[in-house]
Amino acid sequence: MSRLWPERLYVSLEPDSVAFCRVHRKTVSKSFFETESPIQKLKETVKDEKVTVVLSNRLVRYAIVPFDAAVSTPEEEQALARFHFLRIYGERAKTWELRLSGCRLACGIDSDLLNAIKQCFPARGRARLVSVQPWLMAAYNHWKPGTQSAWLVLLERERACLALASPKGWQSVQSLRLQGEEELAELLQREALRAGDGAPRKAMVFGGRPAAPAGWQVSYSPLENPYSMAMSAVASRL
Amino acid sequence: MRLELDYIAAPRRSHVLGVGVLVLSIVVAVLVLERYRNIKLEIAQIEAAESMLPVERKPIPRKNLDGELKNAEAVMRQLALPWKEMVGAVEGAARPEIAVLQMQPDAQLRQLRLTAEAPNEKAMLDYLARLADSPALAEVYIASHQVLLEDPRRPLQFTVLARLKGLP
Repeated sequence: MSRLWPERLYVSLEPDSVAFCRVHRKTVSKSFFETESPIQKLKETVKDEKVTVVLSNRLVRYAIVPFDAAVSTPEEEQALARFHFLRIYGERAKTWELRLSGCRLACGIDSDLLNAIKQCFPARGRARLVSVQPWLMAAYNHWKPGTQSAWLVLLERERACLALASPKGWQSVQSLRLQGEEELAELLQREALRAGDGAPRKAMVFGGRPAAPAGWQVSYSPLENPYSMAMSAVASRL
Repeated sequence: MRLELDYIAAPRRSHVLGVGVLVLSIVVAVLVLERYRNIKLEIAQIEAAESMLPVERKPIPRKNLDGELKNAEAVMRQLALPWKEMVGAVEGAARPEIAVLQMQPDAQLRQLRLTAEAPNEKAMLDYLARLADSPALAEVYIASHQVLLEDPRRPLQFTVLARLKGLP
């Protein structure tokens, strides 16, 4: 591998599958595996690349952390985020690794999962783990909604993540069970009603092309499944 | 605005500072380049102007100057010799039996030294007399003479010294 042009490996990690997009200069090669041990598959696959791991929303939990003027230091921010996670998800959130963005959206993953991913990259190995990020981050940074308010919809197997982004910040984020893509229209309508009168009727959908609810303006990401998570991280870098 | 929730990479910093530094660097580089070009142009102009000025002579050291003066004086004296009269006197005194071997005018001593060969003493003295009659020469005398014994004709080789008239 050239140090000037290192290979990049983008990994889409789900509880029961893993997809790889290997990028060298302009060439992209892809592979997908359904497996009970995706971490083991990741360990076997990495060689000497710079690796970005994109986590499925089935491995990540989200929360909106309201702004608090009394909180100033990073430690206090972490404590505030932890407080909200405990309030929403209970005691199990005590051991989660949390990250809080400047726009008040926080995410949490199991610390064992993060450690297991890190252990795929021994200190003496040539592969380097450069990023572990939730799909929501990769998709949003690829999407770049700008000044418009819209729903970001991430579709996965039996699950959908609906997040309402606005220029003022994140208004809501929900990770919901979904039996089939046809349920999405109903789900969007319901979440829009919950968000209030001013909620937009616009959505950007990653991971599928379900029918749009009546009166809604829906855009679809061209990133193909099952690589859409990894490809959204590739695209967000460009 | 980017969403930063990465567990490994640090949040990306704003590019504004980096872009500002880049722009500033480019501006400074352009100014430095412009200054460099101006200086180069000035140097070229100064060099061109210098090449049009008369070349400044290096001062000659005093010691060399004296030597140069002596040489110049010697050359001037040599040039000032009355070559025409001198050669006329030698040619006027010439005889077939007399062979002129060497003619050495000395401007500093105002003297002419002639080395010649004659078949006998009479011919030598006749030649001396003819030289003495020349209006360009005075005080003509034989400085030395010898018989060349190795030559079967036993010629007489002699040296004549004469003062050159008309020299300061």
